[in-house]
Amino acid sequence: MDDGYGVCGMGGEGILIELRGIGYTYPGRNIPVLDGCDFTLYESERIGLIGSNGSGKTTLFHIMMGLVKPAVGTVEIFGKTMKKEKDFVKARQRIGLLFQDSDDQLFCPTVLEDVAFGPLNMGKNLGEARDIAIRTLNAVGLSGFEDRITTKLSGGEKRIAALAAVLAMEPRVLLLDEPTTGLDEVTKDRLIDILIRLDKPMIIISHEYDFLSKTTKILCSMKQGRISKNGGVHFHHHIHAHVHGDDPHKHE
Amino acid sequence: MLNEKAIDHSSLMARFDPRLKIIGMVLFSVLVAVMERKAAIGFAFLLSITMVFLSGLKFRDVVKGLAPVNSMVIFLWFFLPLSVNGVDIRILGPLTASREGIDLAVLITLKANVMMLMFISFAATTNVMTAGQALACLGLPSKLVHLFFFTYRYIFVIESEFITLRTAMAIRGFVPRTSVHTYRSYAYLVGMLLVRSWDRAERVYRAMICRGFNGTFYSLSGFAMTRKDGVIFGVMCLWMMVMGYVEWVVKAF
Amino acid sequence: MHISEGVLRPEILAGTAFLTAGFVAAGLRRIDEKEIPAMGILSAAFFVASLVHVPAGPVSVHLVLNGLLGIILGIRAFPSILIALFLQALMFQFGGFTSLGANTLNMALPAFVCWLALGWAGKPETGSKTVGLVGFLVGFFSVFLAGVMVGLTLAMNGEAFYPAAKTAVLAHVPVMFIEGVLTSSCLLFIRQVKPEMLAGQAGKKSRW
Ligand SMILES: Nc1ncnc2c1ncn2[C@@H]1O[C@H](COP(=O)(O)OP(=O)(O)OP(=O)(O)O)[C@@H](O)[C@H]1O
Ligand SMILES: [Mg+2]
Repeated sequence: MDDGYGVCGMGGEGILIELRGIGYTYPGRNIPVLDGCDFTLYESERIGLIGSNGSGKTTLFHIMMGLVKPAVGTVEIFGKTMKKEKDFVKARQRIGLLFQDSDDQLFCPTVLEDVAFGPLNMGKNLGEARDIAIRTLNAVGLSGFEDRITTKLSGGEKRIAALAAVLAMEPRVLLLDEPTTGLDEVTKDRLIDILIRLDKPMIIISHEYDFLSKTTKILCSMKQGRISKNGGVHFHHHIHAHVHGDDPHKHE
Repeated sequence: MLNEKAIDHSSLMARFDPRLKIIGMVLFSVLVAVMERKAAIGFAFLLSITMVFLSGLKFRDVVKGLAPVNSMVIFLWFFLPLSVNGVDIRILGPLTASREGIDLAVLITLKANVMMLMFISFAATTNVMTAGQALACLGLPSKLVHLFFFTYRYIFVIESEFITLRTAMAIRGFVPRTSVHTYRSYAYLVGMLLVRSWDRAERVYRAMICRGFNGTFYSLSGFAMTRKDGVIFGVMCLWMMVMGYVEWVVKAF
Repeated sequence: MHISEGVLRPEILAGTAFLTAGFVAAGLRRIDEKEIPAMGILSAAFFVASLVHVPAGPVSVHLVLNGLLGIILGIRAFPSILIALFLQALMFQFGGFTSLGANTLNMALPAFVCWLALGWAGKPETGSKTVGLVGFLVGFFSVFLAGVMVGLTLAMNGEAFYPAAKTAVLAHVPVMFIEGVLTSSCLLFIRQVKPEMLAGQAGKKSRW
């Protein structure tokens, strides 16, 4: 499909998403959520984004997707300045956003229909959409879940199904909003495995350093409406030998 | 509180094509609604009870399903035997009731239960989502069907939010009483549910446009009719003709 | 109060079904394809809220909330209530199939009338005292009218049903006061927390 973006990295040396001087205040609030925020995502970069609750991380993603329109500043996606809703309609097909709450994302009766929803909207015919959906479900380890009712999945299964729904659109960039909330260790490891194998540029919001250190290369933090790259925080891998003996203990 | 009924997919009714099942149920209900003869309703009962048997339902579940209808029926039994003019018959001591009134109450009781049995055999063997799809196939406006899907999809999410909120209230010592405080607290609870679902609606819509939604829905699933479906439906129709024959041609009883 | 299957005469069933179909079609025309998710989710919230039981003296009654629904949705309350009642029939065997038209009309017409008469109060500039009062009236009259409609439907069935019809109307009286108090507080809550929810149908503009 010709979406007008063509080859990657046109213009600005492989810049995928660029925000310049973004400012946004929610209606009815006096403190801005984002205030002169600059941010760049380059081709093949994987960025982990941390920040306290309410610091504006989710809002930032929604601005990148054009779901929230900033008061000031510019959004550039694949080298193109986003001005109108129409620009975003195209851009959204190439950026996959995983929402913080999977129940917001899965709305079809069955998993298969939900995963096929994106491809169908992109103009694929029924057979193609079905094939893509089945293939994507297999890739994330949800084969056999095709006819399961979305409401009856566990929290973790919902998360992975929502990820499949995003991946089925074959996006060039992934934005994942706290993908690990509610996942147990096993599912988390499976998610890490999926993400590492994906080989796509992505931004991941998470409060878990451990998870970010395994899936991303760069860490950014969000504070007072701005983003700083490697803002004083570095990953340090530590080997943690768990020799507990008989005493129960706590990690501080 | 809310529970989706588990459907026993092995029963004959569960495997019956949902479109034909709906058409059959609708025809049957309309037919019984216009019938006035007890003999004809007896024939209708035979069909609906057969359908219930073919649904593989537990006796207890059938009784439970009939309860709401019969609460209205019992309510009417308090009035109809006394409010219809006619031949008085003595019931107990000085208490009398009219034969015509009792006749009317009996007729309503029979009709209500016979129709409900058929409805139960449909409702208990058809997934709600499948019912929606079948209705769409039968030409129900697509907007209504999609509205139906969204409503059903989010009932469970909102109900769990409701339970969380109510538990949070109970933990803080809230005990419902007949008082303005109780009603105001419930009003806030309802208000909170509505506001949250409003916000959720916004997020769901955003998630949908992120996946390219532009107002059109596409459906993957279809139904396939088999010869067996045709046979069941044919038998139902034949039997309904018998019912009509007894009601309007023979005019028995 | 749901009127169950087998009670009403066929001509009443046909008449109410016909009227309901007309109103539902009018309501659907007012819903943009893009608003369907929001309408559905709101309907779901009302469905859940109407399962809430509140104490009323020695017994408990469940909420109706058709007035509140009318204020927020306007004429779009018709499809929303139809779906809720159909789901109640499917999931709990309340009402039934043939009486769906009558039951929808009995609940949704009062909602619509309340919106016609009092929907203006949803505008953001309305004072909180007015909203509180209007809320009470909406809650009170939506249930009152629903009771009257149920009574009328039964009474149309024949003279023999008059006593039952009267009792059915009377049974709604305690609920009217409860719904009045509840709807009043609820409207004030929404006005404070999410005023745009009330404004949508007051100005009759679409949400997005
Ligand atoms: N619809 C809204 N209306 C008003 N304020 C909002 C709205 N959505 C978010 N906010 C506010 O904006 C701020 C940033 O919210 P956002 O959801 O972007 O935070 P976040 O960094 O994603 O937090 P978390 O880690 O809890 O997910 C918060 O203070 C929040 O209260
Ligand atoms: Mg967030």
